[in-house]
Amino acid sequence: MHKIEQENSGIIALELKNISKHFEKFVAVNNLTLQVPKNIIFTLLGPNGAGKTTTINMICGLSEISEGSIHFPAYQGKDFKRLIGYCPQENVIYPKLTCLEQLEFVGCMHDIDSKSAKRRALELLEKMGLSEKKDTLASKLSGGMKRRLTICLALIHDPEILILDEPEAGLDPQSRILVREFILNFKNSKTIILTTHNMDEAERLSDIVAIMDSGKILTQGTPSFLKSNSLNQEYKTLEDVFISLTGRSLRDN
Amino acid sequence: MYLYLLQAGHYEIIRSKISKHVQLFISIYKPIKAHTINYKLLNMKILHIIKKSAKEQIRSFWMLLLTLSMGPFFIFVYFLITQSSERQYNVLIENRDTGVVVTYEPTQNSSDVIHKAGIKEDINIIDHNNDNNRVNHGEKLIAYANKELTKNGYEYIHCTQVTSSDSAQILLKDKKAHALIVIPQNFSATLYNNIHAENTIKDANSETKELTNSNNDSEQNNISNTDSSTLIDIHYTGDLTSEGYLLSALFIDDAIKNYTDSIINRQKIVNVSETALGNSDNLSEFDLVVPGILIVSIIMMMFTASIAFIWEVENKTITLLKLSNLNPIEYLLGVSTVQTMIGVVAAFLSLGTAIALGFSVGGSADALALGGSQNNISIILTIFIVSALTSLSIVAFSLIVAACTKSANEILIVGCFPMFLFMFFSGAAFPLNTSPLFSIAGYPISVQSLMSPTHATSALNKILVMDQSLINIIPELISISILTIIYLIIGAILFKKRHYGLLNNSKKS
Repeated sequence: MHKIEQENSGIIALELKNISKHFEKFVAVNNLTLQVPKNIIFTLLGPNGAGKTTTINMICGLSEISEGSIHFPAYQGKDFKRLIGYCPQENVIYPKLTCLEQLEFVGCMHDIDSKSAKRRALELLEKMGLSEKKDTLASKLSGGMKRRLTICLALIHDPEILILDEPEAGLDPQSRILVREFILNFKNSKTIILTTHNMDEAERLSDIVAIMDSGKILTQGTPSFLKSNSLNQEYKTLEDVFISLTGRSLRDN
Repeated sequence: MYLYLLQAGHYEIIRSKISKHVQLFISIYKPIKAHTINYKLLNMKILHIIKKSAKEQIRSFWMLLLTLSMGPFFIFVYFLITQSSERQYNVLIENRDTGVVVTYEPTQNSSDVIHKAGIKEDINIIDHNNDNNRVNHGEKLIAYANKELTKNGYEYIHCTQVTSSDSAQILLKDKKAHALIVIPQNFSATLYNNIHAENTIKDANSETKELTNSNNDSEQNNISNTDSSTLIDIHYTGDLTSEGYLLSALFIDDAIKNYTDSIINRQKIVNVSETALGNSDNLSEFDLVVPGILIVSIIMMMFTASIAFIWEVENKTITLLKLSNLNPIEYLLGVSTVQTMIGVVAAFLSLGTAIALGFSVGGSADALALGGSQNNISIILTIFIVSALTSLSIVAFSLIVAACTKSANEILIVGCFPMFLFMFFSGAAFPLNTSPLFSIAGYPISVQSLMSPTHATSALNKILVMDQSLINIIPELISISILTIIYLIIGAILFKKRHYGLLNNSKKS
């Protein structure tokens, strides 16, 4: 359990200063600097292999940074583990526990007492449309339900910064709308950092979008700003901006 | 160093060094203090981990069932092995002995032997010129052996007379018999000559009182000449690598020796007696293997325990735990508790199966009472202590296996090596001779002592076989405890480093 070091307070929730990540000779994140204001939805948009997940992993402490520093200016002295809620790219659930059991369990691991954890778990299941499945084993849920449950697990301890790595991946349109509305509920109350390569998702949800490729931030701003001012040209969609910045070559490697 | 810096006037360096040391102390002290304060929460979290882990185990029904049934299954297999090993050894005897016409009265001793073999009437009729008075000691030996090599009505060596070596060889090759013994033509004749030789020696001995020392050498020569001329050449044939042949040959050899000694009235000069250690006289081969198999049933859970640890890693749910306030030690203790309980249940299921198959707990009735009255509960408690400690040590070792792997598939490959090492080199599955390197307070330490099942097997053998009490297994219990702590420390460090590390990137600059 580590505390965020004392820093100058401000409205910046998260600040990455010149962070890099090297995997031997491969540079996954290259001297990346960005600031995320408090209580907004910030999206890291980029093609596969752009370094989005690596950046997220470094923010969460799951991967070591090779160079640079990460700061949380708005959350002085707060317990890092209480602060961060992380929903990974793949569904991370306990297949042999029911939806309610696993939410309660993870809540208790965050030092929440059993009763409060249960109450909070039921609330989240209700909001995510999983109330009827609360006593169903997670292994028996559909892909969309598992995704929603994974998001619930990230929120069980009511974190101030919610990090969602491709939250809409694998969801059907109905589930996507539900998740999107759910995320929008937290606008102005939590700092949400999303990663995605779905333009629609980014455009509909984000306050600020940062387009990332080859471990670098290419540009950032509000979706409307990016469409109107990027590269001194006007674009119809965010996808046009994205393609013009990242190119058309495939990123299979 | 500080004195040197002080003398040199490097006050800034001293200040920064002191500051660093203070910071280091605080970094160590703070987590300790935090854990002391959160003692209640720590216990609660372990309870939640135990609850969750138990639910997962119960819901993985088939896996749990297979884990628990492994021990009883091994007991059953060993029961079948030991039952089949308590068989009758078939010895073929080709009797080429032509017999001899008796010219002497049987002595009291030889008469006893023959009477014992049920053939007394054959030898009492003495007529020097009648061929009907021919005595065939080969046939008498076969009858004697069949009668002598029977215990409690069970004929453990059965001698069958065959007419030719060729047919006997076929039976040997087909494993239908264990040994072929050929009694030579001159068996009875030589035996008869020996009786005369014995009498001659006896007569000579009585005359020696009158002989001078100078005559002693010639007398000795006479006796030795007589010995070499009266040797009976009995030939054994069989598979020398077969245990059946070795045992058959041993018992038949003994029977022949007893028979011939009695016939020629040679007095026994050695009387062998034995004292059974503990209850070993009442124990069958199956009873002897049960303590080891109870430990094997615990060793077998190395796979499931390792998988229980690696489950979180493979499902990536360990990320949720790493980002929570759960300490890796709490997590490991919680999972270990459930696995230890499974180990104890497996051991007792194995014990129950063994008892159902005829195993009698022949150990000390005073296992815990230390001199008290018979008390089976004390034995069960002792078995519980040993199996719980052993289970914990296997779980702790499983933690090392889990730390070296990333998935259940890897465990199935990597885990085989330590599991078989523990099973076959600790003396649990098979008795193993160890050469002690040194001893601590009289307790021998060998290479195998690095494995906790070695001590556990020794402890259970002492309790269940050697009629010893709890106080006698204290060295074993201490050894298991020390090894468990070592395994736990190594496992916890490796596991944390490999799978449970959370980096403090927010402090990096």
